[in-house]
Amino acid sequence: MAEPVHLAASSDAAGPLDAVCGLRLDEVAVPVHVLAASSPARLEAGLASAGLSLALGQKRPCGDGMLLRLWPDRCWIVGEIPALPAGMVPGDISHGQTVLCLRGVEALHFLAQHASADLLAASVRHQRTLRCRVGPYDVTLWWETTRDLRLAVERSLAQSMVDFLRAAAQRHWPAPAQS
Amino acid sequence: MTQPFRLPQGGLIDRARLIHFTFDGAPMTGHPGDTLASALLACGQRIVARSLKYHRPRGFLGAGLEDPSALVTVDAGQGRIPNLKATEVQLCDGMIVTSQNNWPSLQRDVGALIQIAGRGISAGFYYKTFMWPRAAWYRWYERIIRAIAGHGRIDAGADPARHDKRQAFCEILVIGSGPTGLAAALTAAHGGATTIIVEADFLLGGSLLWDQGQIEGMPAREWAEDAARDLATLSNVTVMPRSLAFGHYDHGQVLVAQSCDAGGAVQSVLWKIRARRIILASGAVERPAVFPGNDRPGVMLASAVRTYLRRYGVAPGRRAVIAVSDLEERRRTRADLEAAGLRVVAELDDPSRISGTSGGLIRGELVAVRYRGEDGKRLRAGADLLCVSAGWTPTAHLAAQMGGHLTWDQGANCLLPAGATGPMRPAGGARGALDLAGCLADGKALAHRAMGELELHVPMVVPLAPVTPQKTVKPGTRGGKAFVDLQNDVTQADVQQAVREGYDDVELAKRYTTLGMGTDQGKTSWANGIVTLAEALGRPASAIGHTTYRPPYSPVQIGTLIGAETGTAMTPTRRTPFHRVFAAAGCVFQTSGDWLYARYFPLAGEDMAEAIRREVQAVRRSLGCVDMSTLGKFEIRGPDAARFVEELYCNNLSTLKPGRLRYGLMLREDGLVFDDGTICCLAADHYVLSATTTRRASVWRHLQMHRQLRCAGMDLVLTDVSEQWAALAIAGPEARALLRALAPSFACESADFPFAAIRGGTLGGDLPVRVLSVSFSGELSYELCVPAGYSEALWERVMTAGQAWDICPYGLEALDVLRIEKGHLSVGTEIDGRRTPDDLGLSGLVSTKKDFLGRALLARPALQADGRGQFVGLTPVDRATALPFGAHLSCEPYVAGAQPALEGHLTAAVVSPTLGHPIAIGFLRNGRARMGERLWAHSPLAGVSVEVEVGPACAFDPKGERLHG
Amino acid sequence: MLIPCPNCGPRAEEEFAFGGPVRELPPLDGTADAKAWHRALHGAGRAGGALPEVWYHHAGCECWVTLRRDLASHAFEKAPT
Repeated sequence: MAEPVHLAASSDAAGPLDAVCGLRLDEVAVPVHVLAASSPARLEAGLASAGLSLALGQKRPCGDGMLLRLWPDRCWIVGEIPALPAGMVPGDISHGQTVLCLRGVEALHFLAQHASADLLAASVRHQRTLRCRVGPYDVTLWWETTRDLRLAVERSLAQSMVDFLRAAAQRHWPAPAQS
Repeated sequence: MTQPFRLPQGGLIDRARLIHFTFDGAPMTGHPGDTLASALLACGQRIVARSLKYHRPRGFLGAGLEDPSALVTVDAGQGRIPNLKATEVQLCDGMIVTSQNNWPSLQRDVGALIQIAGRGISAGFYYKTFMWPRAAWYRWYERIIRAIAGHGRIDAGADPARHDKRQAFCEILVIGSGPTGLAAALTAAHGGATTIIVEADFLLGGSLLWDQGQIEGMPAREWAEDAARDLATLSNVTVMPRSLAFGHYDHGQVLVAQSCDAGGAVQSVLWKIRARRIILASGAVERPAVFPGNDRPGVMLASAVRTYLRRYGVAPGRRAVIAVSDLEERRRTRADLEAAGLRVVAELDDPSRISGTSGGLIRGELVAVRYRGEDGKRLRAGADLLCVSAGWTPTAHLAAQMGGHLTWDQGANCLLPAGATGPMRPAGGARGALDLAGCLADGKALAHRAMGELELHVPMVVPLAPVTPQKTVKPGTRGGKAFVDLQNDVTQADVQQAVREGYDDVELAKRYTTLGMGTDQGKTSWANGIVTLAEALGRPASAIGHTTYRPPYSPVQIGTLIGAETGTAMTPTRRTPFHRVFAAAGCVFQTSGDWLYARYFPLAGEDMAEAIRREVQAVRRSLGCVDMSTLGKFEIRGPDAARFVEELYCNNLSTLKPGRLRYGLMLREDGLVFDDGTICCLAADHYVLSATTTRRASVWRHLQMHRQLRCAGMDLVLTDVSEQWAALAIAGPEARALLRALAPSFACESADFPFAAIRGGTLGGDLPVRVLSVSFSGELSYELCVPAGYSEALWERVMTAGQAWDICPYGLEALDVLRIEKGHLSVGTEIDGRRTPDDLGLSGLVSTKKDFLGRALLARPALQADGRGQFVGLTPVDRATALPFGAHLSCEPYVAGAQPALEGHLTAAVVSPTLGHPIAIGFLRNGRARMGERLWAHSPLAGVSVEVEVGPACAFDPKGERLHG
Repeated sequence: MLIPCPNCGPRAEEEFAFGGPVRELPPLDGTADAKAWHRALHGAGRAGGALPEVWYHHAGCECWVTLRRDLASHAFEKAPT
C-alpha cells in the first residue's frame, strides 16, 4: 500500500510546557519490544549469546537503539531490534506504551521533585535508567544527558500524565541562585 | 501612621521602607522584616483577640509559633485565611487583618458577658448542660453554640492559591536553624553529606537573632548571618527558610510545609523529604508561669520580650516587671530592657510570688502587678509589661510523633526526649541542653555521629552537651483565674476539678479540660499542665506521663496538603484509544473507576434515555459498535502455557483448539468467582486471556503471583498487552456484512469463522487485526482488535463502511441494557465476590476432571448447601411498573416498619426497549426451583413495592440463535 | 514506609501493592482437601514480631517479593541478595 496506516498520538504533548522554565515535552513514536524469558538465568544466557549481556538495573546501547533491563526476567528493546538467538521472540508493546521526551536544562531536577525514588542519587545518575512513580504514574525512565529524558507510561494514562507534568511545570520555579 | 512603640534603632528590619496594612479597618505601618505581631506592637495595638471560652482580651504571649492567643484572619490577596498566629505571619504590603471571635468589635465584645456564668462554664460543663428541654437543643442550643464556637470564619470560596507537592532526598536533614541547627548543618555540609536544613522562620538563626552572646569572637547575630551565607554557597546543601517540618513518619520521612513568596508560581509547597539521618534542632519553648491573671495583654514570655526588642526593634511596653526563674536569663532580660530605654520597676526570682495582675478598666490590658516580696509583704508595681519565665520546654514533638517516649527529668524539670527515634536524633535545646556553647557543641557532635553511622567518615564518639538543670517553679495557689492553657481557657481550678471528679489520668484530664487540645497543641501549656496535675494528685511530675503527640506540629493549610490534586487532577484518568474520535462524534463521557468511558452518543436534541433506547434498538435491528479496549488482555507463551491456564480457570480447556476461544471463570483460592473472561487459544503454546476492566490490575497481579510464587519452574512467559490493543466490537444482524466489507485477509463466513473463534490477519491489506467472535450483547458480534495506535484508522473504516447499514456507535449505558436483556454477568453487580459458579448458573463450566485454583474450597459444605441465592430474571407482573434498582425480594408485600423475610435482591434493572417492558436480574434463594413464582420487590428508599414474576435470567433470545447470524 | 526491594533497592511504599502474609498453598495435583487449603489460606494465629509478607513492586521490577516486616515497628529485615 502506498500510504502507511495513520498512527494516532495518545496525548497532546507538543512543545513547551510552561513559559518560565524552558521545559519541553513531546510524544515520540519509537518501537518498544519486550524480550522475556521464562527465568532470569535463561534471559541472561540468551542475551550473553547475542553479545548483549546486561545486569539488572542497567541499560546499554544496541545498534541504533537501547536495551533496558529493569526486570529480572525480561528487558525492553527500544528502537531497532538487534539480531537475537533463536527462541527469543520479542513481543511488540509499542502501542501499549507512550514514550514522552522531556527536554530542558532543568529536566532531571524538575522530574526528581516528583519522583518516588531519588533521581539525583549517585547510583541512578550512573545507570541513567530506572522505573519508579512520577506523581501517581508508574513510569520507565531512561536518559543519556540530564537535559533530555525519556519517559514511558501506559498509553491510556498518557494524556493524564502530560496534564500532570504541565501543571507541575507551571508551578515549578528555576533552581534558586543560592544552590 | 506612626509607630509609637518602635525603638529609634536596632532590629533586623529595613527602616527605609514602609509596609502598609490594616487591622480591623485601622491603617497601620511596619517595615520589611517585621512579623504582623511586631508591627502591631509597634503601632501600639496590644490587644488582638478574644479568648475562646471566656472572651477575655488577649495580646501576645510569645513571638513565634508557640503563641496561643493571637489568632487573626489575614487576607494577603490569596483568599482570606483564618486562625493564623500574628506572630508567625511575615508582614506584607496590603495585608488586610481582622480579629476573630468577637462581636460587635474587639474592644466591646458582647461575648465577654459570658464570664458572668463563671463557675457554671468550668471544665466539662457541656457534659452536664444543654440536655433539657430536648426540643430546645434543635431550636436554640445548637444554633447558639454554632454561632459562638470556634475561632475564625472560613472563606467558603474556592482556594485561589496554587500549591504543589514535591519530593526530596538527602543524607542528613537538619530541622531548625538556631545555633544547634547551623552548627550541625555546617558540620554535615563540610563533611560532604547531602544536607537539607529547614527553618520555619523567614530568617535563619533561631535564637541567635535576638540573643546576646558571642560565637568565635563575633556577635551571635553576625555569626548566624555568616553561617547562612556559607551554607548558601555549598552545592550539597539545600537551605529552606519558611519551611515548617510538621510531621515525622516511618523510615526517616519528614513532611515540610514551605510557604513561598507572594506573586510566585505557587503559594506553598508540601515537601516529602526522605533522609537517612535527621537532626532535630528545634530548640525549646519558654514556659509561662501560672498565677492569677496571667493571660492579660502585657504578660509576655521573657524571651519574646527580648525578641521584640532586639530582633524587631519594638518596645512591648514602657514599664516592666521581670519574673524570671533563671538567674542568667533574668540578668539578660534586664540588660535588654534597660538598653532599650524601658524602666524595670521590679524584679522577681520566682514567678509564683505573683498574686495577681490588674487590668485597665476599658480595655483590660496590664496596668499593675501584685506580688509578695521576699519578706512576705504585699507589694504592687505599676507596669504595662510583665516578663515571665518558668523555665524551658524542649520542642521534641517530631521525635514523639514516631513513638519516641518523653520522660520527665527531675533535674531539668521538663519532658526530655529519648536519645534516638529511628533515624532522628534530638540535639541542643530539643534535648534540654540550653546554653549557647552546649548547643553549638551538640550540633557538631550529632552531625559527626550521623556521618559516622552513614559511613561518610570514620565513626567518631563525640560527647554530647550536658542537659541544663532548671529550677522548679511551683504554680501559684491564690484564687482568681490562673490559666494553664491560654488557647482553650483552661485554668488551674479546672485541672483540680477534673482530678476531683475522677479524671485523674493525664489522657482523661486532657480530654475533660481540653488542656493542650487547641491549635497550639499545648506548646506553652503542657509542662504547666503536668506540674498542676502532679500537684493536684500529690504525685511527682515524672509519674504523670504525657499524651500522644500527633502531626502536624503547627497547623498546616489543607490546600498545602492537597497540592495540585484538585478537580480533574485528583486522580489519574485513563482514556481509551478511541477517546478523540468519540469526542468528535459528540459522545458524552462518564468516569468509572480510573476510566473515562463513552456513556452514550446523543444525536441533536436527544436526552440520555432517548439516546440509549435508539442505540439498543439499532444494535438489535441492524448494526452498532462499542469500545471494548478497556478490558485486560494477557498473553501467555511457552511449553507450559496450557498447564498454567488450566490451573487458573475452572473450565476444562483440554478441548480448546487453536483458533477457538472459550468463556471462562477464574475462581479465587477460596472457591468464589473472581473474574470472568475469554480464553483464546492461538496455538498450543500461545494463549490470550481477557479480564474485565474492573479486575484488570488485580487479575494481572494474580497471574504474576501464581507464576512467580507457585509456578516458578514452569517454562512460560507472561506479557500484559491490555494497552497494546484497541478493541472495537461490531454487533448486530449485519455485523458479518460489515466485516466482509472491511476486506479481512481471512474467510469470515459462518462456516469458516464460527462463534467463539479467533482469527488474525489484516483488514484492507494493511491494518493488522485480530478478530474475536464473542458477544456481550447477544447479537452476532465481532471484536476487532488492532494495535492501539491504529484505533482511529479502524474507526474511520468501520464508520465509513458501516454507513451502508446505519451503523450506530453505542456506549456503556446501551451495553448494559443489552447485557441485562441477555442475562450476562457483570463484575461488581453479579460477580460480587460472594458467588460460586453454581450460584451464577454456570456449574456446567466447572471441570470435574482436573485440579484448579479454588477447587478444594469450592467443595466446602456451605458453598454447596441448599438455599443459596441463585441467578434469575424478574419481570413485573403488570409489565409496566419499573423495578427499583437494588430492590430486595420478599414473599409478602412491603409494609412500612415491618421486617419481612428477605429472599434475595436485584442486581440490575432496566426498561427493555427490545421487549417493551421493565426487566431485572438478581439473586433469589433456590431461584432455579421457583420459576414462575410471584414475589414482591421492595425498595423502602424509593418507597416502591412491585409484584414480580421469577423467570430465567436471559429474557431475550434464550437459545442464543441470534449469535450465529 | 521504605520497602527494601531485593531487585530495586529501598523504595517508597506507594510503589508497591500489599499481598498479605506468605501463604504456603498446597500443590494443585488433586491431593489436598478443603481442610488443608483452609489451614494454608486462613492460617493459624500469628505471634507478634516479624512476619513474612509478599509485596508486588508494580512501579519497579513488577515482581512479587517476599520480605519480613516487624508488625509493631514496621522495620523490614534486609532482603537476602
